[in-house]
Amino acid sequence: MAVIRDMIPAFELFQPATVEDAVALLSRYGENAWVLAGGLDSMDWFKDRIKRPEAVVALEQIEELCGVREAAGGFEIGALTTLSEIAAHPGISERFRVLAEAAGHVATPQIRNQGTIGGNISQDTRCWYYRGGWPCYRAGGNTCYAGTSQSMNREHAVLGARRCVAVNASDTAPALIALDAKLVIWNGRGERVVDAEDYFIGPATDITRMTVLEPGDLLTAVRIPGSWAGLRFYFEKVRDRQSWDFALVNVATALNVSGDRIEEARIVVNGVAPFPVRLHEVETALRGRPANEATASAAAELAIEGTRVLRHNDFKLPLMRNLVRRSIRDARA
Amino acid sequence: MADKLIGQDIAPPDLIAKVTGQARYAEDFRPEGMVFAKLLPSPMPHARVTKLDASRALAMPGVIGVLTAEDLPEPQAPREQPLTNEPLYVGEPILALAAVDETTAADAIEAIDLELEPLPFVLDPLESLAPGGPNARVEGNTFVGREMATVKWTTADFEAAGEDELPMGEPTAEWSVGDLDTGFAAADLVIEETISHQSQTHHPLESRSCMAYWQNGKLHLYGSTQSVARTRAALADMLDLELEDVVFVGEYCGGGFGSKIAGSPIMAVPALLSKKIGRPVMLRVTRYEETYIGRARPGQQARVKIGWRNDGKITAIDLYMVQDHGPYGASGDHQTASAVASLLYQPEAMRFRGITLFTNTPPRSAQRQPGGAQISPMLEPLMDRAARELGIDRVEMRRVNAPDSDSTFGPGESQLTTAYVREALDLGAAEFGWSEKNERSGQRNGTKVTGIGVGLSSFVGGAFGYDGLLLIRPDGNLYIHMGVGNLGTHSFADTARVAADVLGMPWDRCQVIWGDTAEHLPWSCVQGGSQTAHAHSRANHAAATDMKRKLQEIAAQDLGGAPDAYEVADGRVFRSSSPGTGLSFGAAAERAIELGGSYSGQELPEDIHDMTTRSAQGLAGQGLMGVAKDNYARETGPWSFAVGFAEVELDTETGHVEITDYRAVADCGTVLHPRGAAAQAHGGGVQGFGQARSQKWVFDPKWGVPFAHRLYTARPPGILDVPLEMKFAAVNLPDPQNPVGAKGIGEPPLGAGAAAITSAISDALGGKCLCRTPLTTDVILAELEGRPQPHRRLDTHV
Amino acid sequence: MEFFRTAANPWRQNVLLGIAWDLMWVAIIAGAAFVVVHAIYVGVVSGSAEPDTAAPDPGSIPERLERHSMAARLFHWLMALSMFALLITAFLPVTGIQFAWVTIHWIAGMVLLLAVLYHVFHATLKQDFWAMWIGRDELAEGVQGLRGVFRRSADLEKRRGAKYPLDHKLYHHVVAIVGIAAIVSGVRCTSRSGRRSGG
Repeated sequence: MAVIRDMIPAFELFQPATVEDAVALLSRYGENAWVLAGGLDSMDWFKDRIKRPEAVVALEQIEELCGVREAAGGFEIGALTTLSEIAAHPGISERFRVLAEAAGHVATPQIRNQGTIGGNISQDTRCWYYRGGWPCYRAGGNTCYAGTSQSMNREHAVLGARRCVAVNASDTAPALIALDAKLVIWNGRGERVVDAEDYFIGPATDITRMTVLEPGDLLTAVRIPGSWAGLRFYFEKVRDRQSWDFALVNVATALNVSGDRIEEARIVVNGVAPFPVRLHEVETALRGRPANEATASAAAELAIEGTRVLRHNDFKLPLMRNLVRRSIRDARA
Repeated sequence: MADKLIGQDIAPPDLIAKVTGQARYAEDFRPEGMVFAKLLPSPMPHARVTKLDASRALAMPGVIGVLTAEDLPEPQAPREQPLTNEPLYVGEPILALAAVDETTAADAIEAIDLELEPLPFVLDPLESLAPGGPNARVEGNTFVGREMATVKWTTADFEAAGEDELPMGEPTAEWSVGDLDTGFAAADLVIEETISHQSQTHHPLESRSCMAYWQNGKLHLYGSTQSVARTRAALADMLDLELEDVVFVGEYCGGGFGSKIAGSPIMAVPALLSKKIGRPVMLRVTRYEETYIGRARPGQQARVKIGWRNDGKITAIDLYMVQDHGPYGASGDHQTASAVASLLYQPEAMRFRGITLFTNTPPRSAQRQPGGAQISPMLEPLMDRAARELGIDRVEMRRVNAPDSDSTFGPGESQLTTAYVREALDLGAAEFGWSEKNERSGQRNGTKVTGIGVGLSSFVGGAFGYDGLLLIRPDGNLYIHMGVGNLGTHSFADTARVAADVLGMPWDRCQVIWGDTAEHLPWSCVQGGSQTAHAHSRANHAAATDMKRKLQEIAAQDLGGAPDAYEVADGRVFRSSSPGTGLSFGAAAERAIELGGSYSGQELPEDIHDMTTRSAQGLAGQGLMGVAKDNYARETGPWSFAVGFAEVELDTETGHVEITDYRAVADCGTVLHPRGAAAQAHGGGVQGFGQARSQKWVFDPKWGVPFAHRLYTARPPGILDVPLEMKFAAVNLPDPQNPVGAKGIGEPPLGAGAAAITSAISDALGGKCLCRTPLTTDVILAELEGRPQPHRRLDTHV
Repeated sequence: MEFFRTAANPWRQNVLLGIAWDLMWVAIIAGAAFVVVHAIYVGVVSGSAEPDTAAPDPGSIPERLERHSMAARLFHWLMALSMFALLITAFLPVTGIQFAWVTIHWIAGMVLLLAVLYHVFHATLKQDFWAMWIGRDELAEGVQGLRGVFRRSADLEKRRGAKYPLDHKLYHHVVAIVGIAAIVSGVRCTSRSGRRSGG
């Protein structure tokens, strides 16, 4: 078959006004349905004519999915809330700065005005072999084109690669994990709530998906608990250019420091694995340690243990190590 | 008499239309019955079409017709055809299909039965030069003279180079001046390095969309081009038509950077498809397609050896360049690069050797400052290293070697009109605060280290011998017809003001006519290579002088006295001794119509171009005409210069580089339009930043498929990658070969910007030259951390 | 039902990915059906038939007859083990049971490869190679055997022309082809992924 790109093929468009209707549509169409939020990931797939859903369920009409509400000492953020709104939200900026900063570092102002928090954490990987429509493992094929010694893989994984070496590209995902956020998912059988950390799955679990969302599922809200409000945070994203670019590596850190001792830490790195990587061992090692340069350096070395580089992405090791170090060293309330 | 318009900030006449969205670009036109075309791109880097069956597509409702290579005029190999049965790069169009809308067309493209037989392909020129290496084309891997041929180097050539050094086998181009051995023998310091410069796509924001229809035997084509008159000629040539049978409209152009100099081969597709199906055809070129068919800058793998005396004077340069030229044509970037090196550094002896190879990557063409933009960011960090080792200030190092107006350069020891490089360096150093800033070189602030850079560059600054065509109508207004394009540089309007100044005409009574060949446009230079400012200030000066003489003659005839007793200003021609005695331009235009002959364009000069003659004939009898060919002196070529000064903050933990200050200074003769010149300096600078820092060109080596074909994967710089404020100054010394003193300034700011950044990064790294572009985060971080570089020195397309 | 899985490669040529997973179900159903049919056949149809062989003279047979040497048995089980390991590490991950299968899989593959190479040389040089050949006599025997199955005529005289019966030989050859195919495809994949880590 001849191949052509850059032209969206026809699909049936649904614009339900309630979560109930949306879930009903998703149940009806199952694997042939596609959830459309801001469209920044979806439209690329559609334009490339690689993903061809029969039915597109656009969420834009569902008001209950929009906006930030105070809830249980923290916030409940509708999945359709734009990244701009989160970045500019005074309450989030004041109490959960790491999330506001992460949202503010996504792509460009235009994309943040259109892109949603639900879409940002549910986006597919940007591995250019996979996005190019190559029949790789993730696309249902029987090989990985990005992992060979000749492949162009500077932006690929150094951790968590199982057959697939693609990375998760979200900026807000590590911030949400650092804040111990809960994600609310609806489907035909009702509601379930998962920890942000468990929302993201690697190729070992399912090589064709990035998240726990299965056909019929709809992410409706993100709940930020009050437990980390106002503590020390750090977010940084390193990229080739300062707008409209995905992270080479990003880091989101939350520290609970009492006196000068770290009581608890949550450190999450993205852009290094097919899922955001929470550094459990580093967090454990930090407990009770003084919040200073020496602690940060020791933790940073621990962070990159177990990494495995590809032909072109060795730089991600020092980059990840340095970002973890500086996130512990420079985290501020 | 009013102040001169030249040198003032005057908004171009297209500004309001552009910022309000009223401007109509090629893809905005919708003639009745128009259908849309889509292209079928090759999925393989080199293949032969073995089966191409469109019957299933043609049977689909809404599909009108297809165009294949079989429908094209007989190809003149090795000329690039807009459609091919032997694609030479991924994305090369094989077929075009027209349908009632684009979704139907795309669906129909998928229904085409295409079978390809893969042929050997090659991405890296060195691989093609290796013994037994593949050729990008069946006919060979390079040009030897005008013929395609196969050149392979020997195993010994490759072994002699050693690891990560450029092998230097038999070149196909070579020149030398002076004695190299003597030069190096006289040197106190010799540096030899292998340097890679990547290829990169032009990425104009407007793709090369085009629409065509035929009416009464004439082709009407709406396209995106840099040069209107020359695109008309190129279309006539490509489609074997008479010049007057082509009506070309291109009033606005969303950027070309050398990729749309005289239009584009793809313009033949809507033209021929429209002829075949009898309906207007619109081809909207998508971003993917633009990165495939939209041209790119040739990449170079180079080895250079430079010798310096203790005082910083360069004694010898030995330069070898292997150039990647894509599958078509033969680029001279490497030759120009060598000439620019010779010009900028004035070595006592220089040798250049080079070879340009075919590869199965998108076609190359000139890209803003072709050759010059590559050589400056390659060599300037080496100048810095030498300055460090010799204990000489880096600006002083450039001053010591800088050319002046008496310098010669290049293989033919060419001369130039003016070179005020030392003046530019001095002005820039003063305004940038070089000596204070340079104190901060290498200073640490937390995790950040400061780097200070300076980059010098140069390019040709103009052409000669084109035509000017002016008309004063009875309404008393001056109509300035411009055949160049509206590339966004403002020069189509800035050079028109030269005519207004000669005639003393207020700008609000002047109208620039451009962008539509039905509007009687004169023959013009290509709007590229920084030619327009020089060429058309001369041409308009010549036409305006002709017009002024005619005004004086008419006034003398009607009011008595000698023509010389009259002068022109404010829309009147009047007697110098009694300004009250005179004619308005409107009255003079009516008299010209009555008088006929050369006054109203009934008689025309013999030496103007055929296109100008026809345009003038179209305007004849409508007013007082000024028309002339630029016959002013043309002793040597004008060259322009730019120097960039940059300050960067390099984060040693992340490899991130922030440009905190940038200043460009130009030697571009008299500044025609300060804001326009600054826009060129800044725009070129930003493009240079991207070239030096972020812009990618990536291919999978096993399959030959590109990945940097979206703007987000190709990474041209964004607004947050440039300093908040960029500053510009010009030496503003006139060039005597131009009646108003102007030289072009479109090109050199790019090389200066790129070189200032490679120089500043090298400075922040303590003088270390990483000797490749782009200097992305990974490359810098690997150096800082002492880890293996992500690429070997000569790796290309990464 | 599809028999093969194909996909467009990066050059949009249609290439074979493998056998369709549908065929796995066909094999399972066919296997199960065979077991059922065979059980019915043994229990109901031929259960009543008298064995037609005369009892051999007990004295002429030693207590234990060594049919296969210990080395041969070890070799047999080594090969079987490698094949089972290959099957398990191939199919379980596909069905969603994830574990680190790659190392086990390629080691088992190498073991099988060496075992097969040994077997080929051993059988060719040291054993009676022609014992596995299917000649005219075997074919005749096979035809007769099939007739026996369908007619259930116990009166037909069994012919024993060669060392191994035809069905055993056929089974061996089928397994040999499948095994060699597995080895070839495995080695190809190994060489491809070998380039991956080759630097």
